[in-house]
Formats: sequence, structure tokens, C-alpha cells
Amino acid sequence: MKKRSTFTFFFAVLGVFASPAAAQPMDTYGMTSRSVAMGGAVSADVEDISANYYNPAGLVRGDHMRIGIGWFGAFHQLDVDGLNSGVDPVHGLTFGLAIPATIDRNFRFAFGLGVHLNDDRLSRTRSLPQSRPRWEFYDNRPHRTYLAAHLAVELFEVIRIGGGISFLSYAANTLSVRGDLDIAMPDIGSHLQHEIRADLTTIRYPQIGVQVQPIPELSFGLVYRGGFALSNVLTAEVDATILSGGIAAPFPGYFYLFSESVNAFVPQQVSLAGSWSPTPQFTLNLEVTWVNWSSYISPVGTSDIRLDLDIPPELADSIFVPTIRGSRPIAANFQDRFVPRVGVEGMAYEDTSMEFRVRGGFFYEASPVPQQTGITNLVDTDRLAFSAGAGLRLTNLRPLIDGFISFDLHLQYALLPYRAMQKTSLVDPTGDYVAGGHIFAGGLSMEVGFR
Amino acid sequence: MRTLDRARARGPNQRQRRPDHSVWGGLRWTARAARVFVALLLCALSPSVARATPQDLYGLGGRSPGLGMTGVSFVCDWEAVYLNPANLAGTRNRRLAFSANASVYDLHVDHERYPLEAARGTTIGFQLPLPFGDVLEDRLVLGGGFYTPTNVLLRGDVRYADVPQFSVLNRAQSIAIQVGLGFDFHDIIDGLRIGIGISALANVYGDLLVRLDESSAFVSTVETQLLTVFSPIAGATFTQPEWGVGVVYRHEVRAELNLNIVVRDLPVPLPIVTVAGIIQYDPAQLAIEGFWLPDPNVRIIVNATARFWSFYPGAARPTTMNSFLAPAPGYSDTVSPRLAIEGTLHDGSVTAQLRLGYALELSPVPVARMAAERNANGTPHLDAGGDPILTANRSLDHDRHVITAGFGFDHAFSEHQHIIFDLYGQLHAGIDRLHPIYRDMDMNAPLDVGVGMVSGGMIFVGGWTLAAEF
Repeated sequence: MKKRSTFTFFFAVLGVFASPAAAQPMDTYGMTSRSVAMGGAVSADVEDISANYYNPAGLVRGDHMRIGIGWFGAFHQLDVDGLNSGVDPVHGLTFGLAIPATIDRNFRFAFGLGVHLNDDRLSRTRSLPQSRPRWEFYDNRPHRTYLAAHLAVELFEVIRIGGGISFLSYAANTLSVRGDLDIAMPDIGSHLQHEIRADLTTIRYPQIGVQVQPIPELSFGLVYRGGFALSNVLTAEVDATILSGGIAAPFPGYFYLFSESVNAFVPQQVSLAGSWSPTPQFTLNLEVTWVNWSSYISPVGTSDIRLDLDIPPELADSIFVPTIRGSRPIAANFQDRFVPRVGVEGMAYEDTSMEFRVRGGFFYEASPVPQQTGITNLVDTDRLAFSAGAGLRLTNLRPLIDGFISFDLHLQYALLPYRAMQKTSLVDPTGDYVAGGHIFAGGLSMEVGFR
Repeated sequence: MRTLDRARARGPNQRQRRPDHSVWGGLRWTARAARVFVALLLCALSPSVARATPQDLYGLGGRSPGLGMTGVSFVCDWEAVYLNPANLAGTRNRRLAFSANASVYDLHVDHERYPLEAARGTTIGFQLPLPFGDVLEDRLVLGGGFYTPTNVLLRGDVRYADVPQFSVLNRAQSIAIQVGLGFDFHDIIDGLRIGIGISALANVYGDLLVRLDESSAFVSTVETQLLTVFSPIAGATFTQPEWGVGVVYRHEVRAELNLNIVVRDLPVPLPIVTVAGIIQYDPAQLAIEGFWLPDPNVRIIVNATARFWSFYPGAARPTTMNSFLAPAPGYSDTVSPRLAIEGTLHDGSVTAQLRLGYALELSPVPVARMAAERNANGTPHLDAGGDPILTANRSLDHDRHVITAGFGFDHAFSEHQHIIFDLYGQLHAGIDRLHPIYRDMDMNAPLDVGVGMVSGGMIFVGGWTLAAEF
């Protein structure tokens, strides 16, 4: 009992302090082939490495120590008024660990690690003028790294609890520039120097999940994921001596710029799921997720600008400093949504050395974005996603592996029905438009399980 | 390479500038040290604060930092992902560890305190033997260490060269992600292990455009990207019952920032401003270490760690097309000798270890001085007479005597189940340095009369690790 309490204390300390994680391309495209193929409706029965995203309680569900790696890609065909919007594809590697263990014969716990690394970049933040149409959920938000570590424990054999604190970072840069600024030949004649303080500052958000399995055939899951937002903040000061190519004596000038934009907002979410296996060869999963989109922060940037020039009389007629004003974003006014999901899995073939399963799934996301009747142009439509997949598990691998190797693949098609955005003003610079398209995604994953 | 002799040769000047060795001075120092110790303890115990992963400056985990940052030849747990991934293969148990550390700076310039933010952080580490059978049985072990500061994952502080700055010590505020894999050659060449690993950091690239929009308001368009940079680590060890040797190479780790700022539609045209620089840099390193067990419960360790600082190109980049650059950094390679001893006591299922260590960390940074300004292409900026134009370079650093102590506690519940606690403290006693330049005036200072800028100071480091092995 003493040993158990000591280890419980250790894991309690570990859970209180931290676990690393970051960002979610998984919110849009899912994680690992089995889970994506089942429409993401896996929070109730997940036990592979994707439990690091779907429900950390599932890390302690299985008996095997699992190491997995995979690749996935998503390719967008999205257009506005028939013109391709050029939304970049998203593709990258997925890696994960799920390490269950037992101490003192009946204290079961697990440690998990999940990583998604985009091929092109760790993350990208982007703010655009509010008048420029952009696919709000696909243009930039998936371009982030996911890194999560979780702990899970099993209580009373039917209840599993897992969680951790995830974090990522936003950039805050403070820039100071000094030197000579030549307004006659600014690029060639200027001799400026800079100093900068660049901070990638931590944002933390929690994730916690529960799985309840009253009987082997039935399992339930409940997951909470915290929300977060990535920001870019830049404060710049240029304190320069201004040269005018000999027309006038050098004079002082001061320029101040503040730019802030919130990017890649991920709202808090709660998922409730159930999994039913009437026979060992068939599983039906249902899930609904509440997404708190109403807290969405507009990605349009805030900017403040100030310009002070001590203009000499010789240049008073040629340099005129107007009233300069910055910009403020307009509230996004998104609405909360419930996302229903369904997934099925069936055993197609089974013998003593291998198992072959087929899977299918579907989910429907109603767009939380309101009609863009004003100057903003945050483009989005509903999403209906259909997925299918298959998995091959090899189980007779001794003596090299006392466990299994599984290979899974998935394909997913998402239809974004065309939606018309109608402007209130007849002289709106963007005007009315119609937006819609398709997303094609697929992936492969491999997992090794050691008993 | 810098040598010990050169360090000793500089000694008299530094002692000449040492302040107040009286009894009252000692008491004041003791009181200050006590305050720093309390602050350090609070920092290390607080779960809400964490900064930087200065594994290069202070070590990683809870055992190695108490042993003078040695461990290349014998530390066979998750700390090996940084120390020497070959030694990951020396363990047969899974381990999950949580570690917290803090470092507090007490630096001074001309006897005035130099404010440098405390570096505090937490680390999660794990080691995972891969339970293959057959020819791969007990050979492969995977390990990871993730240092995660609470507030700042990565800080870049590129300042004007004429501003006094501790450019090496201030370069420690960074996340660290390290993964390694060790391979044991047992039954092939008993005692031989090899390992590889990677350290990951990120480069920051971005563009900022400021312009007038249709409503005559200035709007900004920002795009920034974080791109991964990987740096390899490779090592080998050969261990026998009473002795062992290890060697590890860690490639340089650098993170860069590059932001292009374009401002349009102002009444005064601004050039394209490029804000660029190296915001994080650890030099390539080669460490060689040996240990000897004169008694089964006593371990003596000798280590030499070479850092190839001469490849450091300097932090800043040209701001505009023809901007002048700060003087070349002129850093030099260093060798850090380290010595440590670890004693072990056994009592039933409990094992306790006492650790002591020493390291001499030589500074790669030349003295602050007036030096030649450079053109954007790196050539010297010359005046009309063909002479180099001198500008102040006040990059500061100093040699440090690092004295470390640590304590380890291991309670074994069974052969494979342990709870492990490690605690350590470090004192980095800096050697004051006299620079041939004034702090406030851009001109050379005559050192022979003992004037000029003086820099130095102490660093206090502490931390603990709690781990479960199962």
C-alpha cells in the first residue's frame, strides 16, 4: 500500500506540474488512420497512440506498449466565385507513444506522447486585411505542430482518467531601429541598425478525458479540451536622423508601429461519445462535440502608427504629414456548434497470425461563421466528411516481437457545399460572392505493440 | 584553443579589481548569497514559473548538474539524451521523470548590478527500452527530454553592440526538445554502446507589410513561420566493471530570426527593414570522459568538454541594404575541464548518493573593446583615409569556477520498480574581468592605470528531479 501511495504521489506531482503539447491540425483532419477512418468518433474506445489527442484516458485501456508512426496529407480544392483560392495543402508526420504499466499488481497507469510535425513548417501565423476573403479554417490554422504528453490512471477497473496541460507559444517582438535614414535613396543610402527582443511566449491549455466501460461490450467517453489563441505582437520604433540628399540639413524623425493579430484560435471543446461492440467482430461508435466557436477572436490585426518629423523649412512644401490612424478589427461573431460523428469497424478476416479490419465514418460540421455582410470576409461553409479505411494486424511475430505490428490506412473526402455571401452595401469593395469546394485527405500509419 | 595558462595569466588584473574583502564585505556577501539562495529555492519550488533550458550552461536533469556537468561516460538514464545517447542502452527499466531547475544571476558591470532575468524551467524525461526479442533483445533504448519554460519558450535578445550585455549567459532562454536512441553491443563486444540523438529548435521567419487600405487607415499584414532545425548528437561508450570511457559530439544548435518589414504610403519613404539575427546558439561540442571505481561505492570522473565557439558568426544581420555591422565577435574555442566524485551508501532497499563536482568554464568572448565596424558584406568599414572606423563592442563574459553538489535517493520496491529523487546546487563563481573600454564613453581605456569597465558576477543554480522507474 505504501508503494502504491508513493507512486500515486509521483504521478500526482507530475500531473500538477506540466506536460507539453501544442496546436491542433488534428481538429480539422484527425490523428492516425484508424481514428480518422472512423470519422473521429473514437473518444469512447480509443487505446492507440491517437488517445493523446482524442481521449488521454484511453492510454491506459490497452495492455500493449505502443509505438506508432504515420503520415497524412490533406489537399484543398476551395474556390471563391469559381477562382481557386490556392489554400496550401497540409501534410506531415505523426509519431506517438502509449506506455501502460502496472505497479503493485493492481495500480495501472500510462504515459503517452503524441507528435505531429508538418513537413513544411512547425507553425505559421498570418493576418490579412479584413477586406480580403480568406478560408478561415483551412488557410492557416492547420499549419501548426502538435506535441502532447499525457498521463492516465485506471480506477476500479471500469473508469479511466487521463489528462495533461498542453501549451504552445505566440510571438512578441520588440524592435528598435536607429541610424541614418536617407529619404532620397531609402534602400541604398540608409544606414540603420536594429536591436530586437523576440519572445515565443507560452500559452497553456488543459485536456482531460474519462472513459467508463461498465461491461466489455459498452464504453463511454467524455473529453474536455481547452481553448487557446496564437498571437503575433510587434512593437517597432525607428528613431533616425533623416537625410534629404543635401536639400536640407539632417533632421530627426520618429516612427512607431504596434501590430497585433490573433491567429489560429482553437475554441474549447467537450466531446461525449459511446462505443458498442455487440460482437467481437463489430463496433459502432457515436460521438457529439460541442465547440465554443462564439469565443472566436477575429484574426484581423490591430495596428497603431505614429510618425513625428521635425521638418525643416526647406522641405515644408514637399513633405506633408497627414493625420495617421491605425486599424481595429471587427468582432467575428461566430456561433457555438455541435458536431455529430459516427464510425463503424468490422473484422473482415481473422486467423491465428493476422487480423484485417475495415472501417467507415462520417461527421457533419455546420459552419459557425455568420454571413459576411460587412467589410469582413471570413469564408467558411458547412463540412460533410466521409471516410473509409482498413487495418492489417500481424500477431504471430515471436521471437522478435511479443506483440503485434499493425498497418492502417485511411481516405477522407469532405464536401463543402457552396455558400453565397451577400453584402449589405452596394459599394462594398469585395462585393457578393459564392464559396465552396472539396478537401481530399489520406494517410498511412504503423504501430508496434509490445506485450 | 584557450588554455588554462592563459586564464591564469589574466589573474592579477582581475584580483586587482576585486572589491572589499573585509569582514563586513564578507558579511554583506553572505547576506546577499542567503537572499539569492532563498529566491532560488522559491523559484525552483514554484510550479508556476519556468524559463529556459540552459543544458549547455548548467546541465540537464538532476544527477549530472550535481557532478560538475559530467556524465558522458556513465549516466544511463534519460539524461543521456543530452549527455551521451549511447548510454541510453545501459538501462533495462522504463523511467518517467519530472525535473525543475532555476538559475539566478548576480552579475555586475562597474560594480552596479546588471539585471538578467532568472532562468527557470521544467523538464519531462523518459527512457523506454524497446522489448524486441531474438537478436535485438536488450539492445535498443529510446529516450527523450523536453525542457519547457513556463513563460518564454524561446527568447532572442539581439542588442546594439555598444550596449553592455552578457551575450553568452543571456542566450540560455530556450525550449529544448531532445530524443535519442542507444544500442548495446552486448555478446558482440561486451561493454560497447553507441547512440544517436537530435536536438530540435526553430527558426522564425516572417514578413510584415504596413500600408493604407481602402478606408485610408493603416493596416498591417503579418505572416510568420516557425521552421524546425535539427541538430545531431552522436556518442559511444565502453564500460568495464571498474572503469569506463565515453565520447560524444554535439553539433551546433542555432535558431535564427528573420523578419522583413515593409512600410508603404508614409509621407517619408522608409527602406525595407530586415530584422534578423541569431537568437539562440550553442556551439558544436566534443566531450571526452572517463570514470574509475576505486571502490564499488565510489566513482571518480574526469571530463574535458571542447566548445567550438570560433564558428559563431555574431548575432546581428544588416538592417538595411547598406547598414553597417557591429565588429566581428571574435569568439575563441574553449576547453572546459571537469572533475567529480560520487559516493554511494546502501541500506536495504534504499540507496543514497552524495555528489561533488568542479568545472572550469572558460569564456569564449574577447574583452569588450573598440573594434572595427563592418560593412554589410563583412569587410571593414574604412574612413576617407583608409583607416578602419572603430566602434564600441561591449559583449561581456567571464571565466567561471563552477562548484556543484548533489544528493540522490533511490527507493527500490523491486528489481524494476524504483522511486528516485535527485537534488543539486551549483555555484558559478565568476572571475572579474577588466575591459579596455569605458562603460559610458566610446573610447579606449588605459588598462595600465587600472581604469576601464569591470564585469563579473555569480550564478546560483538549483534543481531537483523526481522519477519513477517501472
